[in-house]
Amino acid sequence: MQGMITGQYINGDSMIHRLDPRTKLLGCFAVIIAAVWPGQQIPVLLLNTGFIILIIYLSQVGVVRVLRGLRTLRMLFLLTFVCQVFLTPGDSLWNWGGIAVSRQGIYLGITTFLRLVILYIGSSLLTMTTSTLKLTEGLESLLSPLNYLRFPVHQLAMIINISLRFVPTIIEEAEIIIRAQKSRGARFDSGPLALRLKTVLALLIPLLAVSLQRATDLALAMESRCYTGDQSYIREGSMVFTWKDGIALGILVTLLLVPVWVRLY
Amino acid sequence: MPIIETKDLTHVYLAGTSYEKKALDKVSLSINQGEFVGIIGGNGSGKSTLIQHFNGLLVPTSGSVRVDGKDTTVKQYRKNLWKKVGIVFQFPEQQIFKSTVFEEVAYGLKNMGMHLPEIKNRVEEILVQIGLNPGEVAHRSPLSLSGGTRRQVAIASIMAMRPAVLVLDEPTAGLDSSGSNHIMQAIQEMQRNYHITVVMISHYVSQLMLLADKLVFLEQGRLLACGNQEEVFQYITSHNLGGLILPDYLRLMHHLADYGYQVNTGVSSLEEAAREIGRILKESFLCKV
Amino acid sequence: MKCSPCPGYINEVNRVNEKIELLNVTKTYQHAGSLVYALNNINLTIPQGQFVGIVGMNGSGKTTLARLLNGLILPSSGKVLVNGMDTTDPRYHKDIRRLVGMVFQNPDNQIINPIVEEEVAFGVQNLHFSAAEVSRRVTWALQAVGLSDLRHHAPHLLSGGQKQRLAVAAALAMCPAYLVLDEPTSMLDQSGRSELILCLEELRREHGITIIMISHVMEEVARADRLIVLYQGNIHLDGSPWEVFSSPEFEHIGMTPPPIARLTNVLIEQEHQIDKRIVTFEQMVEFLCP
Repeated sequence: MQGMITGQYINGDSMIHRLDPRTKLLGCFAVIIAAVWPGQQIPVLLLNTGFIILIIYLSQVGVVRVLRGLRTLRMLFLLTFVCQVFLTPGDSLWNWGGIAVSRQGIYLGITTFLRLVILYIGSSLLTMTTSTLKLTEGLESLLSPLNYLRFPVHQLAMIINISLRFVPTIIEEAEIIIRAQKSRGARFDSGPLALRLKTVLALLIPLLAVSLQRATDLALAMESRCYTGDQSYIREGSMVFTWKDGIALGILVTLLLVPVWVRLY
Repeated sequence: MPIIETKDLTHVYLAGTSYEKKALDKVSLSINQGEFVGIIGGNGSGKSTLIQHFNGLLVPTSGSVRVDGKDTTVKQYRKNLWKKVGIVFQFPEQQIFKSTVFEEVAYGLKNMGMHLPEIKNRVEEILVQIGLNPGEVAHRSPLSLSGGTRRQVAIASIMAMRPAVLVLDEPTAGLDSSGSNHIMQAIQEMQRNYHITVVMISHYVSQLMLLADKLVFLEQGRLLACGNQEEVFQYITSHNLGGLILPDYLRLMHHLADYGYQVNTGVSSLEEAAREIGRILKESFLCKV
Repeated sequence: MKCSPCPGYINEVNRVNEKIELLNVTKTYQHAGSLVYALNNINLTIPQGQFVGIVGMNGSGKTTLARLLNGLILPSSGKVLVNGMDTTDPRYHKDIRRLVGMVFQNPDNQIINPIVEEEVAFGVQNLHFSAAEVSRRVTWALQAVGLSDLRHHAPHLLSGGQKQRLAVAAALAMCPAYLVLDEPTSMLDQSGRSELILCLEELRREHGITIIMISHVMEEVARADRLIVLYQGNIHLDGSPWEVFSSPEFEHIGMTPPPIARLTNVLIEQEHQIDKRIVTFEQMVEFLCP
């Protein structure tokens, strides 16, 4: 499982890697908005997809690698496409005894697929070009105005950092638990739905128990190293917003939000 | 006919990707009914991958695995293999999820379709065999018990299924000496009472020395030695691999033999080793006189 | 032979009484309505520079003792003094935790950062040193445990032995005088164990750090200068390893000496001429093969 997690940080020195993490976070945010904004046309979505792929190419993390990751979501793509095609009312193109396929359905199927693709490759781009530490730093910095509202920004950054640290570990542990339960006859992928849901408990409860123990242990370890709860992740001089960041943000915002302006006016 | 037989068993993880890893390389071995087989080897030797082939969790990339004469690649057969070959993985107490000890131990039995009265009998029996008092623990939450006791409960849940082959991956890892002894005694008794086959991965080789009929030595996915203890230890020391595996007194014997002393390197217990050393000391003492 | 990159630290530390003292320490818990004595009137002094092993059956109070040493737990009665500082005084908490580093049993459950370098820096940063000083200490700590190559790695890709060495480095970067390890090898395999023990022995040799190790693997504590045996919350035996292993009291409470020590005991019983102090493989080899 190690190294196979899609979206894992790839060490590199491209111009994208060197951008300020805050730029990339804001960029990703813009991508998400552009992806979910309603009523977009296929050409615009295709343009956005192409644009993101171009940035992936510039970041040198490997376009093929990212696109291969799309395969893991193929069931999701298929399901949503089928739903849109068969369940959208409109001008019927084919009709098989009650089940209608409309032109709008096909159109919506394609646009939904493209939106999902944009969301996936856009967020992959963020996580593949930004180390977890920089991500946490950037996030903490962007959220720092919330400090004035007494919102625990430092602690939130710590939570995010610890979660990122443990995701691969928890995945491994889940695999081990599944193996052990299967060896006692637990069936995770066959049998009636009700039984399968119960079987999921055989995975979730041990994971939860392990996580709770882990939380206790981590607290002790952090206390032993003088953690008092208010340290910041932001290192002085670590994030520098340069003119390159300004341009990048400018391009990004314009390109992705143009259809939004167009729609509104 | 051997109960487990592998021929040129090869297993490659993530074949075809850049993360490809060959965990087992043409491993051929056979385990007979009723034997106690110890599997030894260092990090990355493929021990864990190997045992997962025995109950059908994994299928070979190439080569074959036969359990009770039947090929494990046959899905029909593989689906029910867990009833015949019970695996206790490392730190098994981490898989506990039921709210009482009884339910936890009964989990495998329920999945086998056993009826409640028989389940009750089995659970009581196995708790006694593992060294626990059913009256005291059966209704308690496993999480309220000590680490060693939880381990016993987890192992009991597999043993309760009375598999023909009991496979254990480091069953005493992390336990103190009394916890260790309880577990090993239960395993021995189980083998004696039900004539099952036991396959045990352990790096406490001294434990295996008392019980194993046969030892299998793996290194980097390859089976380097398979046979009785003396043969395997001979192989290990002659290839200078034994530093971390052999118990101290055995290493000592081999070291003394290399140094030039006439000692029996085939000692199988501490007392025998003491006798050998005693002999050396007497001789050198006599020489000095 | 003091901790080399921390000259500033040495001036800060309270140099009076360089030892850890437990004075009439008792620790009790409420369990199922009754009072349980985890530790019962313990008196113990651990001077600087020793390699101390602490052993005992499960429930003998070993972990409680470890956690009293850096103030994670406070005694119910009695005092724990680290270089003269009382652990119950909140003013000294930071200094005490700086002086007494702690490594826990589960390698994964003490690493919180996704990058090795950041993990080692965590403790030092909590002490508010400059970025340059943090960097210097991180480099030194990683080099001292032999993990310099893995500086930019993710911890989940490390082996068990490497993870524990990382935990040691993380404690080391704070320049402790004492390092307490609570069953650090119990979840490791053979090679991970020997990796860690060698690393600890070198730390003591090169940097004079006091190592206090709780273990139930007798072969490991056989190499200590001093062995303390806890039994039902009391100190049952306290002496050099060979004294403890050859004492009939040791086996009386259900403990088993390591194989080499047993060998020595058997040979002495059979009245052979053997050095009664031999408890490790190396010592035996040295004696028999001069």
